[in-house]
Amino acid sequence: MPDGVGAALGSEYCVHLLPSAARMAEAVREATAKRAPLLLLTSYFRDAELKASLPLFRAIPAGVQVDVAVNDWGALRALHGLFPRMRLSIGRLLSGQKRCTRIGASARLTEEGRMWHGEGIFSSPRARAYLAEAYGVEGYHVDDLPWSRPAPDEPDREEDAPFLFIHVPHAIVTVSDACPWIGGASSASVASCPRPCRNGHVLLREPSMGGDLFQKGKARFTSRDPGGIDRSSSPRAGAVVAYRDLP
Amino acid sequence: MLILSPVDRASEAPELVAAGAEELYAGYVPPYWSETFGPVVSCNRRSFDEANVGSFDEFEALVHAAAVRDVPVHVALNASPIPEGMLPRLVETAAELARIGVRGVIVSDLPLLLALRDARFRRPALHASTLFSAFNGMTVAFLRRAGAERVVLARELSTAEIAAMVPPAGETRLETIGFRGRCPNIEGFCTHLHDDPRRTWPCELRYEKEWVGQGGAIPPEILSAIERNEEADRFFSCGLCAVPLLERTGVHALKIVGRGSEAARKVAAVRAVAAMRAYGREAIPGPEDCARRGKALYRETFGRPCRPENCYFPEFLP
Repeated sequence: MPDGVGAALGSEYCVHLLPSAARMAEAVREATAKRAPLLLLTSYFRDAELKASLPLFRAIPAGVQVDVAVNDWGALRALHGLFPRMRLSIGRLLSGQKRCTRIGASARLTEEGRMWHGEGIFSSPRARAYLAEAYGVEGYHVDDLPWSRPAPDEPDREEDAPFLFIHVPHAIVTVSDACPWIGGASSASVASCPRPCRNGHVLLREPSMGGDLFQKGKARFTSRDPGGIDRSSSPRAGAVVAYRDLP
Repeated sequence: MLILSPVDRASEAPELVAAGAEELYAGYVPPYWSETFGPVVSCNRRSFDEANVGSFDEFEALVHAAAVRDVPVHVALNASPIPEGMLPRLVETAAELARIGVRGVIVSDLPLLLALRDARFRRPALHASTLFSAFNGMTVAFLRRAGAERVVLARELSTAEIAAMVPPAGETRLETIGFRGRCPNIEGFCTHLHDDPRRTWPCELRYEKEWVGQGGAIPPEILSAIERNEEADRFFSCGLCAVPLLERTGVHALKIVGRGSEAARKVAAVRAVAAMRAYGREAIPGPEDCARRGKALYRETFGRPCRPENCYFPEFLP
């Protein structure tokens, strides 16, 4: 972890890609020593998986500067109840943005309809107020899409706009529960996974899609603006989560 | 466990109810919505005309046709996100639908759920759509606090996982989806655009594939799994084997997918689920008997054997 730069770990789409409690504790120690921000990305959970993941969350000491991105409404409720001081944010799977490559190419969408696909739960003052008050939510994770709202460092952004974590350059288009890397079985069918999906990905191409998709594990991504990973974050209104490889 | 069937026209209600449907749900797009967003962005995720009741008057006729048979009708307003400016108008639409007797509103947008919860009218019951991805009991509790009286569970759960979720849900009614319309992706996390007028969706396409990683080619087991997914057919997807066990779990309703399909297909689906439920009530079968009966009934219904890629509950596969 270089000085002045934070780190993200975990996974938004597979429980088997979450770090162990020991690895989390180690990452917290390193980030604290460097005074660097740390972001834990978490997945959706079945009941047993959520229970089994509690040691991971217990590895985050109260009061340290660790952001936890939740992609499961039940995890949000559980974590806020168990760890009231944990810094929680709403992950990309819950944000509501639509990222299909067809959106940019569809001739059947009106411009209003196209822009609708960039909106999300973060666009709603009612939802933001509710989630902040009831669950202490402090931010929202989004993708930088051609049809998305103004980014944190853009001048026409509203004053009371939410804190955004902008993920570049890989946007999650879809997620399945079945993983091709374990023979197409549900990820819940294996107690632990050797993570074979870390060894490569599959490029998927179909002319009507308007762009390539990339399958890695249970997720399909689209990638945009590879140069964007060097964008600097804006401490006032948001942060950039940049990936060197498909997450 | 009630059988919840899709319906698109008032004229379909008598036959669906006669086949065994005990609840009906339908889509409706108010004129102000389609004028703003055009033909693709629907307020209920079905953009084609056949999947939506054509007018408010037609919806009233549907509710009446169902009510005389003592069957409630729910409406799907399950797009997400709902733009802020549309919230008050959709709340008003829900109020108008409630006034003509609609009993439930299926919602997938948190702001709309909260707005309906806080609305000051005799509102219909609020159903949290499967798009909330309720994989665990804490999500049910989250949705209950946000106003949901019924929660449609994630489609990927097994019968055992569903059974474990029913008791802690308490008075919150749980609903499961179990016939037709299975998607290879988790619906609540899928952001594909369903804009093809021929209704071939991105999850059903056959993609050209290329490996990027260690080794020169896609490992065969990965390729095979991806290709199996591409052979899935939502029209032939099925969870019949699980019906008797789901009923024993205490699930409130089993939803059949298929808004916009032909009336005969909807009726056949209701008949198949009703027959499997009746078998469960009469024979009190175990899982193996359920699997045998479910597969036989599938063949009777679809005229072909079932396939793993179309199965809602793989625990019943050999």
